[in-house]
Amino acid sequence: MNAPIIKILKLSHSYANGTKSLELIDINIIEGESVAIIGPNGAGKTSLFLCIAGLVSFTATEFEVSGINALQGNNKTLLPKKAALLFQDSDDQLFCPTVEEDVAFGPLNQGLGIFEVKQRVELALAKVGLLEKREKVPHQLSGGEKRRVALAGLLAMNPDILLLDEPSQFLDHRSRRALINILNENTHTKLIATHDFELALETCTRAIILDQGKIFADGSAKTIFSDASLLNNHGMEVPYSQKLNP
Amino acid sequence: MLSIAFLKSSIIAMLGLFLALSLLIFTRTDLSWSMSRILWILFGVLVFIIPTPFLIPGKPLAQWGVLTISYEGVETASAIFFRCLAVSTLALAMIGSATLYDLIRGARGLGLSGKISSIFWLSIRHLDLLSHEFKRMRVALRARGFKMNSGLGSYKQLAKLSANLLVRALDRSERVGLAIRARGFQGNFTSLYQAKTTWRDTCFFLAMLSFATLLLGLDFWITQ
Repeated sequence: MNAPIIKILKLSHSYANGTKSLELIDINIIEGESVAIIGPNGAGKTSLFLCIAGLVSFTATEFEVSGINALQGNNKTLLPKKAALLFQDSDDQLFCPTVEEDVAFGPLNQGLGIFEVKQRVELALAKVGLLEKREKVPHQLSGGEKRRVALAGLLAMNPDILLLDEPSQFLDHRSRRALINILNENTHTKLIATHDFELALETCTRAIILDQGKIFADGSAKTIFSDASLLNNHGMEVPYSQKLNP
Repeated sequence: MLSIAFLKSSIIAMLGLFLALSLLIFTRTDLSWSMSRILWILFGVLVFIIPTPFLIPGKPLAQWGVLTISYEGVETASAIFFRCLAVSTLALAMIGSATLYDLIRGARGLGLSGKISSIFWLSIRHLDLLSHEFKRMRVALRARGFKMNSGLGSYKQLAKLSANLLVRALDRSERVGLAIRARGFQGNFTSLYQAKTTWRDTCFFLAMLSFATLLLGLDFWITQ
């Protein structure tokens, strides 16, 4: 068995007003795994991602992401290079005047040379099928295209882990299918926080139930998504595909 | 712009305005866009121009009771008028012929600090988001039957809308801040395309320098 790429012990996080969003949670993720993080609204999914990406303060007894011990010194600032986060609302993430400038934003901040940045931008845009839209203004794209540009922005940073927060939110069927295909073709370690259980079943082998800042279940996606009582206890339902083919 | 701001003669200031208008056409800036803005500037400037001929003492040109229009006053008012319009036109030619992102990139190339460039760029982006948010909220209000009128209720609603907008703006700015940091941003404006000086830029700069010197020289010659 491979060594974990994410190893977290007793992670806790609170909002500025003192409300706890994560309470003493333990997570181990193996390299290359695709894991669905599911739970009701306010369960702590986004907070977990913000912690893994090193964007908020937290406490933990162990916090290692892709070989970086975030508890040592100023190491937390290195986490965005290793774990790239796709935000719920793509408009929050796209702020440059053209698609290619936006995709280049991360690699440029990593201090890479222009030639390498351009290569990465081209590769990332090709992966999400938006190479021909490179000159376009991001805000004039459709919701699905914006999401793909945001994803290209992450891929261009060449991270070890992709953290995808509600990736299928606001997407139409065609865009959602395109996104699922991109995710399945991608070999990165992926953590996907979603209410779209059908997407989770198609892209993830493992699922974790997070509710009120605590982990309640961790196992194979098929097993968890077919456990009606477990899902009901946490305000969720068995997805339709599992009802048809239990 | 600086050379026009120093002109004393109204005739030379008018020549400066003519050159600025020529530049506006040369840069293919949208003329209707420019003219609507110039008109607003004109209204703003008139507030200062109209009293000037009455306030500056000198050789009387016309007199109505205690009000006297002096020749020097008219000359100064005309010079201010043409200078303001010329400077505004030049600014519009600069803003209208390039995107703000290009302007920041250019300023960065000229040595503006990365942090100031970033603050400028993010402020523009934030204002854009605010205006979008405001439009969305107005549509939502209209969808629920709200009609703006001069009544107190409308202004109260507008105040609530503004407060809500600020809260939303803060919320969004925090999310954008996280998104920027998630992509490794450490406070320096970076761009895929660095501004580089080409021979055309050099020619343009020399032409502008010549015009500026010519205007200042003519102004000095006339006013002496």
